Amino acid sequence: MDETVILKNIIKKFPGTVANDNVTVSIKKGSIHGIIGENGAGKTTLMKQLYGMYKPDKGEIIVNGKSVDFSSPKDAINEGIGMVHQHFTLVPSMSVFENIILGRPPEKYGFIDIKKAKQEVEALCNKYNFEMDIDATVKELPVGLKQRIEILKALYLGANILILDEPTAVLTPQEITAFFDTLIDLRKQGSSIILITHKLSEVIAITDEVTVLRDGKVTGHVLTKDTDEQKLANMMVGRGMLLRVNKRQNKEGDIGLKLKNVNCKNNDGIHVLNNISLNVHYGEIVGIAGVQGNGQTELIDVITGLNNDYGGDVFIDETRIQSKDSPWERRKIGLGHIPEDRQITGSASSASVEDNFLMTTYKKPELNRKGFISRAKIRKQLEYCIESFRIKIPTLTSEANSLSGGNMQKLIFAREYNLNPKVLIAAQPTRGVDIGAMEFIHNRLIDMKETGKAILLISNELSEIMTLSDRILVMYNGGFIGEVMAEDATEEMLGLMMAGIKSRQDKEG
Amino acid sequence: MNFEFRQRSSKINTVLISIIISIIIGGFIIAFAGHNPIGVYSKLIKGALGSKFAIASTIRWTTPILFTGVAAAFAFKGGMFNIGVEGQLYMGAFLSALVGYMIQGVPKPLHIFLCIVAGAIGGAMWALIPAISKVYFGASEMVVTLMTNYVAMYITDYLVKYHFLAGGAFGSTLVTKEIEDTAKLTKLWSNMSAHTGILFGLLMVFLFWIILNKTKLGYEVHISGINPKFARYGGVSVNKVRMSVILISGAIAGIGGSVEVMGYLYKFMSRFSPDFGFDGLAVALLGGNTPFGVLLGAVFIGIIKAGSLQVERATAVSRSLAMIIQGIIITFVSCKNMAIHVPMIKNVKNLFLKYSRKEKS
Amino acid sequence: MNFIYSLLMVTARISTPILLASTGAIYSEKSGLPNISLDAAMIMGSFMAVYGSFFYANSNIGILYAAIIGAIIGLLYGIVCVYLGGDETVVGISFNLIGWGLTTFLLPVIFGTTGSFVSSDIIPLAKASIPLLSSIPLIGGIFTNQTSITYFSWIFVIITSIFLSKSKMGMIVRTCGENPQAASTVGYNVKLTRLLCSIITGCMCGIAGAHLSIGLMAMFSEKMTAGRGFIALAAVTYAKADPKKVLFISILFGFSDALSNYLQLLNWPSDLILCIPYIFVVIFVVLDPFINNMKIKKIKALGENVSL
Repeated sequence: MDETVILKNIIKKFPGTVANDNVTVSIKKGSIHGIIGENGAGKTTLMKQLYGMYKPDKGEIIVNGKSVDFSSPKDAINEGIGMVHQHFTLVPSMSVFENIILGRPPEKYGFIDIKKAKQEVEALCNKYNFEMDIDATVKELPVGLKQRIEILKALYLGANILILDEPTAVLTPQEITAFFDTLIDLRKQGSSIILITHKLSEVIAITDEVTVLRDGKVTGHVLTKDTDEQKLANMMVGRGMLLRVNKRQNKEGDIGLKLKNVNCKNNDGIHVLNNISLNVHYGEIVGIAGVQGNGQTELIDVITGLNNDYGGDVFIDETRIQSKDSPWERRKIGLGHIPEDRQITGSASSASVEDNFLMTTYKKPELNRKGFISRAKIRKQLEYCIESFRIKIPTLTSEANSLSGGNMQKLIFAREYNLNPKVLIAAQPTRGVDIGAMEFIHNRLIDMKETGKAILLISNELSEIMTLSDRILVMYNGGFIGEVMAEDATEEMLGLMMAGIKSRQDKEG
Repeated sequence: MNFEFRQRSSKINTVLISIIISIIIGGFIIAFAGHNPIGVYSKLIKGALGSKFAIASTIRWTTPILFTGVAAAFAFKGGMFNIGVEGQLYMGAFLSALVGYMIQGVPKPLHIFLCIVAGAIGGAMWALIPAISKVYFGASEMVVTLMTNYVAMYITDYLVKYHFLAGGAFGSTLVTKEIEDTAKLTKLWSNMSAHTGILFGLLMVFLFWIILNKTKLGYEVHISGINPKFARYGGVSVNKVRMSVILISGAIAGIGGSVEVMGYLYKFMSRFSPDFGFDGLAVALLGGNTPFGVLLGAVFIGIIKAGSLQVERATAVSRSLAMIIQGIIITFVSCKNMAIHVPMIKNVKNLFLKYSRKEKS
Repeated sequence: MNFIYSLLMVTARISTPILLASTGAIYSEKSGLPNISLDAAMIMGSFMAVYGSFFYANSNIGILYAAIIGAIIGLLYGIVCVYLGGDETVVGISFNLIGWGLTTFLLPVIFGTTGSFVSSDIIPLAKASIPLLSSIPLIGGIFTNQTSITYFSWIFVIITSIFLSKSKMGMIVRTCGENPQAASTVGYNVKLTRLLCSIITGCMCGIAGAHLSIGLMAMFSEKMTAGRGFIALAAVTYAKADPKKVLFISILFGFSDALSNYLQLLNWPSDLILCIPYIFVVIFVVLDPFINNMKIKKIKALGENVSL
């Protein structure tokens, strides 16, 4: 029997939705198996049942030939299953080796046997050819290394079936290549790997087999060599997907957003923004590519007014902004902002849809008088926005968290659009959003550009940057390490810059 | 530790179940004390609603709690945990009493107005300490307000004892001089404790509703309480909002103290508050920080207080029973997983069946 | 010089409830379930200590009862917050209300009095001095005439420090607090861990309460904790649950309490003096960020690596 894991007829329901609807997946021993699907298709839920975090409502899980009933991750770990989650489960204040041994620390009379722990971790690192300073504190390590630690953690507990959930979401192209090498190595050593992802190019690159999920059901199971990206996309979405957006080059106008020598320090006194200068013209989309953590968030905060502690000049629509100008002052001058984290910065999840829409809108002079808000007028504007942006909401008074990610993002977009901004900062505009909403938002951004708005796009998704931008800047360590016109850009070139390596092409021109 | 108070809406079902459970537990406590629970509870209801006198008593006890309830609820809405309503109540009452007897010869409406203003100033001024601590120094307003409660009680005691003691009252209660007749609120019915302060209280609830739902400030408070980051993103000055919220909350509590002085005490008396402040907190939490919830909660607590006073007179059951029951109710109301008792009962049943089967075989 | 000796002796005694309660609270804080019901466990502990000492004519039974009731309160708090989904702040406040109400309610029921209960049949805790150490000039005061609870509280601080940094259970507790997903994903039961920590916290607060009621004089009066549970909460919060800092801050707060006791012997208005500990806490809490910043600047100046 060369199946190491079989998930048979799994049904898992949550209030209001069926996450897994009669799903059957079988994983062959020693293979790399991709599980793909859109956001919300049920991939993570399925794997969490394999890892013992959820219990299936119906169905059977068979591991290495025997039927299992996991009540907690401990049971799954005992069967040799390990899982690396999308969001890291490391303890920042502890060291690397402490994090690795967390699940089963070697002890002596209740105290942790530090010597033995370090020995075992060193041995593990050697076995899998990972080079690592096991005494370093996790808080200070780069993301690529943190991922390695997560994998080591699972291996330490004896996992030979590894579940990896969206592992490349935060890696540069070069780190992804190194990561794939690791996977191939692990496969050689006998591990079976389940890769959850929505990135089709990676699936084609590294997996042996693919299972496709859509809306909780299995819509396809193929050998990777027998398929391609377009076929997989069809199975994922159910219709021909627009993989590229039509964009026209526009004649560029004046400068809508200008930054001159902007500097910013963090609490420890380190420069997070180093003499940044940048221009965005009206009728242009400038994309900022880069690995998260190189200053993008700080840049956005400075431009939008969420951080007033900076040096240098910011100009919106030729008007010089004072650092103390509030986000509302900047909106008055014509700045719009789609925040990168819609749940933390972009909305109040337990407030109603109407109350969420009010924010930014309620200060419009025609909507309030002497401190009293005219809710009737606002409701009209909201209804108009809902229609034109095709947002699906239960009612105006439902809580914002009852909206899907895509609809919430559209609402946030509509909210800013309603103020008719001249300059728009769009940060991670389609993160965690379904394909339909993604297409809509992309098309709207292009429309806005063509009607003469200036758009600054910041995104971790290279494909999004390359699709939408006219000009691409790569951010690294608080500065722009390179600038490329979109038609000249390649993933490899951008990837090198994102990792801090200046491309030779600039010099040779 | 994150002291940021999470906003939650209480469902009616949860509140009802919690009340029932608390009454049952309270019954056990009463029985433990050697009394008949049903007898005690019926005396409680009678003492609160059984006669005109009883109803007047209920109205009298509901009044100050309307103020402290609105004060607490407003602060909570803004994400600020103002536990200092008790202290702000005292400060407002004290200042009000002074204005009540030191100013003479003014018409009644003006005098009452001045006393209310004094109450608001007293409460707001006392709330300034936690407000500044929180907004400018980032200190936990919960800790600071708790401390200022105790300080308020001691300071007002000191002020009365050494500076404002009414002549001839040495050794017994610490009181100030009685306020002028022009500062006294009219009784609703003669010889009973209810007074027109209830109307002020209801007005306060109404104002709370209007501000929250219809004004810019109310909206900013609402959102700052749910998600301050989102509020900042939209251009709200969260610091200004927090400052306003704590000060207004203190002012409202202070007015509550002032109404108590003007309507019932007619002077400032040391330690006059049988935990009005904490009752206000309880009411705000029970009522989900909504105006209507506060109103219902205040009436409910008013009933319990009036009733338990009667009970204390008739039996020896201390009125601190009211506090116990309040605490139990709030505990259960705040539980999000009340439905857990259903699977728990199922589990107990299953275990029971398992063991009884084992015994048979 | 004798003045300092006796001042330190009094400080050691008076800081004990706050020290023990806040050190116990470290467990809850570290495990990720903040415990606001410290005052409730304390006052119930005070009550049950008097109960045990009075009815069994033995002060150690008093301590035992206090510990048990404290543990029960910790258990209930943990169950309500962890398993029934209660909000910690709300439940904490309501537990305090129940604690105050219940102890006031039971005074007449069990002891037949209201307001307070005093009796020569309540046995206070035995006091002892540590030989040799108590003869040290100046600081010897802290080893003189202290109760078993006081000495225990110091040992407990040390145990807590070692437990958290070096033991396996301590590592699990820290993980539950810092990143509960990290703990649950390797199979640890975060809920159970938090529940157990809550029990420890409650137990220690109960014992702290015992020291309060039968530590020096032996009596119980309504709401006699006078908010000390909240002062302990402030201590553990601002010390960020670090045992060494908790020790330092608790003693600081205890010292202000002792100071106010002293000043009452002079003819200053007692009401104002009683304010001192509370005002002290407020000032401390307000100045805390500045104190921290100064420490950081100092360390940077010395060129050392700072990781906070």
